[in-house]
Amino acid sequence: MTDTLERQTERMERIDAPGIAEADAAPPRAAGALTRIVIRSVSAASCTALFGAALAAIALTWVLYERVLPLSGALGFWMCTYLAFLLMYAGVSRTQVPGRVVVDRVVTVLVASAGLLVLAIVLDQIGYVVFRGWDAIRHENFVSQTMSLAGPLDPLTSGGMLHALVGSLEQMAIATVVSVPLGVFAALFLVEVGGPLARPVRTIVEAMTALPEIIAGLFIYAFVVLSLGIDQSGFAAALALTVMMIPIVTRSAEVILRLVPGGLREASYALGASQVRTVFTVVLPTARSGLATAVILAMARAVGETSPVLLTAGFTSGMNADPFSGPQVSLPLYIYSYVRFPQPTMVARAFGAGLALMVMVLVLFALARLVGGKTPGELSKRQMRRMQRVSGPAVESRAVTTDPQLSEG
Amino acid sequence: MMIDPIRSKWARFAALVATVVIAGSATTQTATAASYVPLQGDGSSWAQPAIDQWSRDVNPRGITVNFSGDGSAAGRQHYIVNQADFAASDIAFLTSPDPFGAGTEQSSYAYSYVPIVAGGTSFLYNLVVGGKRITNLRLSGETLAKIFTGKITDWSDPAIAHDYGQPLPSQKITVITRSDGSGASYMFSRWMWKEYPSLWKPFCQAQGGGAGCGPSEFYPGFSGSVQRNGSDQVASYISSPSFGEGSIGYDEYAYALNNNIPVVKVLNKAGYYSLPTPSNVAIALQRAVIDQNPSSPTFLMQNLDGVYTNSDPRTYPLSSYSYLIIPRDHRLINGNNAGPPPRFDPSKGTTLSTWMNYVLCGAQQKAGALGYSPLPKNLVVGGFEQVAHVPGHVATPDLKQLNGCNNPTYSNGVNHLIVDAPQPNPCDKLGTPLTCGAAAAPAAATSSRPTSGSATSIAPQPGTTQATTQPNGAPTGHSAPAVAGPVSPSASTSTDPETGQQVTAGQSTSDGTLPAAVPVALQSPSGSRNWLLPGLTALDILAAVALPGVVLTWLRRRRPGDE
Amino acid sequence: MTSPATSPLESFLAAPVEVDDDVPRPITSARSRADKAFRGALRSAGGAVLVITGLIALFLVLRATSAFRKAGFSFFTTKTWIPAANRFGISTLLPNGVIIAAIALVIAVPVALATAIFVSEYAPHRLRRPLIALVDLMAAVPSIIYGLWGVFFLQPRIIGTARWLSEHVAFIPLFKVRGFHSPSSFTSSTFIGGVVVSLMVIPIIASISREVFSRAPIGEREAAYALGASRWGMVRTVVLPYGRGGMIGAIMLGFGRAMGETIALALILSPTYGLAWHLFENSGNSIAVTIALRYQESTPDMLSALMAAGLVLFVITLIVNALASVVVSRSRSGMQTD
Repeated sequence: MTDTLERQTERMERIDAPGIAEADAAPPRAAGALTRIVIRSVSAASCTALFGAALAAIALTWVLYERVLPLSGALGFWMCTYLAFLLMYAGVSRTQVPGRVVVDRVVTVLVASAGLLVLAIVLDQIGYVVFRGWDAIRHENFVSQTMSLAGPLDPLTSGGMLHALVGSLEQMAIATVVSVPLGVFAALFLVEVGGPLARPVRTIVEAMTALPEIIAGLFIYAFVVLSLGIDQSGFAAALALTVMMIPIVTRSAEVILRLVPGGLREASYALGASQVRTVFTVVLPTARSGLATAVILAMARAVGETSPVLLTAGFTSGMNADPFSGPQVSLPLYIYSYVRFPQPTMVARAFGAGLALMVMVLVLFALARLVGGKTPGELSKRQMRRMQRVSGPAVESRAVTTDPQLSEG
Repeated sequence: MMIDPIRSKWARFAALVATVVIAGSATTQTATAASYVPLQGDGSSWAQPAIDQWSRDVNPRGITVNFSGDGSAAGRQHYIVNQADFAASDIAFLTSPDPFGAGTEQSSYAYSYVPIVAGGTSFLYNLVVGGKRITNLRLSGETLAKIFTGKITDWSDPAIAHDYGQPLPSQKITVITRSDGSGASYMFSRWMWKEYPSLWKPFCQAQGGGAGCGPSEFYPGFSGSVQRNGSDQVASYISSPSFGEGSIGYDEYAYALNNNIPVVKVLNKAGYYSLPTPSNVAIALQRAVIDQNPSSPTFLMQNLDGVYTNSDPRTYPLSSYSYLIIPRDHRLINGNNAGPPPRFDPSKGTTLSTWMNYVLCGAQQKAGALGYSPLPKNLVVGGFEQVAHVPGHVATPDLKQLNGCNNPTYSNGVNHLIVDAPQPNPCDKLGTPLTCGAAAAPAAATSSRPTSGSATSIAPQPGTTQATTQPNGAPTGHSAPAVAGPVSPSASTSTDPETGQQVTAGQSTSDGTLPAAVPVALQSPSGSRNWLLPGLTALDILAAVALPGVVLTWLRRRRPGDE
Repeated sequence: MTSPATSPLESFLAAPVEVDDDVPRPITSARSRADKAFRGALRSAGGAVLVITGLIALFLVLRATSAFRKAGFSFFTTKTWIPAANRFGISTLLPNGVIIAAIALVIAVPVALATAIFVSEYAPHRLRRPLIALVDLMAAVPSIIYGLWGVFFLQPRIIGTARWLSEHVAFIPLFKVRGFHSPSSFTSSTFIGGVVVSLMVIPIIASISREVFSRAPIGEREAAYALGASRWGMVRTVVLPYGRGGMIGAIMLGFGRAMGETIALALILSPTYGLAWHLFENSGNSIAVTIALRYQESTPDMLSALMAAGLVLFVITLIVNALASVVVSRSRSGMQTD
């Protein structure tokens, strides 16, 4: 539940402590004429050991696994190869360096392969969805038509996901329009106003970030759809997404607003500004980049969410651009519905929609990276230039230094 | 002032949002410009392929019918809680509790049942023997019941061999059942409950169904079964190339036809193995007892007990009708004069009745091709009586003659589906060897039309056994010249006479001859593989690789200072 | 955070007071009308969030209570889910969810921690930011995509492994598959579900623990190197002990996420009601999956039962998350005094 937030805080805190990264990258050096202790060295011998062990492991495993022992299967082969590689690398290294360094080398290989594994998984997922989805999405009609006239037996040249695309965008827009102002204002309340109400608000917001998405959907289904009598519709789905987004936005916005240095606020007050002006001209602009990142990541989260939508959106195979009446399908629901079909064309359509969803998430994610990555007060290149134009060349790159302590929520 | 640029930015954003919203609502206006309003219904996935097709058919006329096949139980529930304009359900509102599902159901809104299509709950399976897919499996009801209650777990079971006529290799039977509340589960379990109570009752009770244990929409999962949510997923699983092998599940025949999945020929009371073809289903349902009282709340509802025991040799015993639950102007429910669901208004009634006029008449033309069986006349007439109670309904076709009703089963008062129903292939008789079909010529089922005289006089007398000897007219249907050899005479894609499947030549083994080496288990358990010699060889190789290094290291150790 | 504010004015300055350790001089000025309106708006936003989220909790509790009252203690001991007959409970749903989460953690924890160590300690400096972005991206992939990938890519490929394990490591009862085997015996299992969920958990654990690792005090790192430690030696003696609390917190958060996962599991599992402790058999169900698959046909009573199950799930994730945040904050504050 909290991963968005965690990413958010993690990003800021990383930048808060720039010293660690630099010092870490360049290992401590001994001063003066003493011999320099090289901790990470790339020598010919270590390279040979690495690649030699890898080659030997593949060869040996191939002989044993495929030719001698009655085993088969790609996964087993690569696992055996990996084990053999580790053993061989350790053994070969043992002939070169003392035991402590051997352990270090093996651990390096282990953690690096974990990183590679994660990379491989992400690439495989994206690649697989692209590969399977390309069949459907390369047809122009897939993005320009709905499924109202296409049946499960129709070829991929008819029918599409336009209605789901529209539904996704509308539901995301409604959820954002409702939850972002509410969330940001609630965060402003927590940071700028406070008072006896702040504590329960913060507690319950933190509690609700633990709410499993399906329960957000169940709540909207039971309360809004069944009790209030609002039909299953795009709006109900957007409400479920809103319920899910509000705690996320509030919490991450609070963390970001808290990073705005108090000195800025005080400077504003000292100039005689009112609180409303201070908030809108100092606090929010300072935190803009972080807030934008938080909002975009929450949107990316909302657009990919299936379980709240499943319970609240209803299902239609045709276009329904009106979120307030009638069922409205979004991309995740489209995928969930069509992937269950036995027909390969329907599965291809589901993967095509999956590809579209993936692209949407990637675009939002890239946007968040582009907008974000800056702590409050840290200026973009453009802002720097502008400031230099206004106030002369002597402006430091970090106009405002922030206190790392502040990032403790 | 400093605040201005920010304000203007917000203003621009607000304007953008407003434009998007306005644009969105504008498209809505055009989308619903037609005089019909969109209908929303859900329920039976058993009837979903037909309903989906029929709603696509009327889409060009501006009628939008949103249907999601999330199961009969969900459909009825959504009708009760005013969440659907209509529901599709294979059964009536529950009057007695389901052993694994809901209690009794009571709609507080007026409703009527309208049969929309008939069909057979069929058994889809995926069996590959010696690289060839088996498409001519035939089983008796008892064997099926034993498979689905976990009594038979192996395809090599003698009971299966007895029914099929040839032993199958040993392979696990993976039973695929529905996890959601579905009419297919109910129809199947009701058949078992009625016909094989000694199998169903203990099974149901063992799964926690309570003492009564009637039929259930929620098929209990048991060890060795895989539960899937929705008909689509059942069919997906069975047709999966990577793990569907050895699985069997139940679904409407349409799911088998659409996906080229073979279905089991089920033994009927006349001693013939039959398929859920449109005519077999229609014949079987002649014995269904339909509630004929128009004022009864269960008007047109079915009692299928007679279908199970129908002694016509062409009967498919698991045939049933599927229904729509549609709103009604008023009905006395528990002493209250109930009206239609609040969400339903006359404009929806106009749309719904226009669609129903199509469903009960012209749409029935497509039933056969979709894997269903069209409705007989009395149900069409009854259905229109019900449609006439929908608030805001349009005019229905003339009930006397059904003129203008393009129903395929009737012309000039003759039910062609019944009259023209082909007699069963003698090779499908209980006890005929599997190789029977190889000698006789497989003729296309649709081309065999026995003389109408013998077939119209079916109306079987209960208790007589003459039905088993009835197929005297059958051989006349097989007039095509005999083809020697096991190769089917069909072209690359044709309808397999044995299974009703679209098959590609060479794919099926329906000619009755199994590939050689059938009784041999296909995959020998890997535990029996010999590990000793390969293991020793592997050790040798490992030693040869590792020893020099070990020795080298050891030698170096012995000479310290060398490093 | 909340200082003992006596007047609205002081509470107005409460945030700056907290942030800066200086004691501010008291400023007295009349608040303008715009300010009052603004503060009112903020307060009502805070109140709205409180009301909305509180409403959910209240609604859940109220509806669940009726189910609890009907079922009584048998809610925690009943295996089946037949609310109409008053026989419903979570005695297998909850353990099955825990089993899936446990499988996910067994796979995810080593991979995620190793990735975190790699990113924060071993990776070349240039690669660090892309790697962090990669892990974040993995967290942003929607769970339906994980479901697609799990059903179509992973399941057919992992059957062989599952079969091998169940046939050769069958002396461990967990790995046993009853009956005799065909490929379909190994589908829709808690194991496959757990593997898919593990992929969703990896980025959570990796990103939090990486962040904690990267905050290990620079002085201690240098001290370790100065004492002649290898890089792994430094990591083992400085970074890992420093980040222990954060790691545990991260794992707990991952556990909470795994417990709440719905849609990918709904596509994969075979939702039978039985304890799925034979990991490779087709079985398995969890509270979240039951809600997703059973809500449609549920009468109001049955919905209450689902809500009761959902409430239990919510409370568990709540406790786990609260514990996790306590552990994480404790570890940081404890370590930063060093």
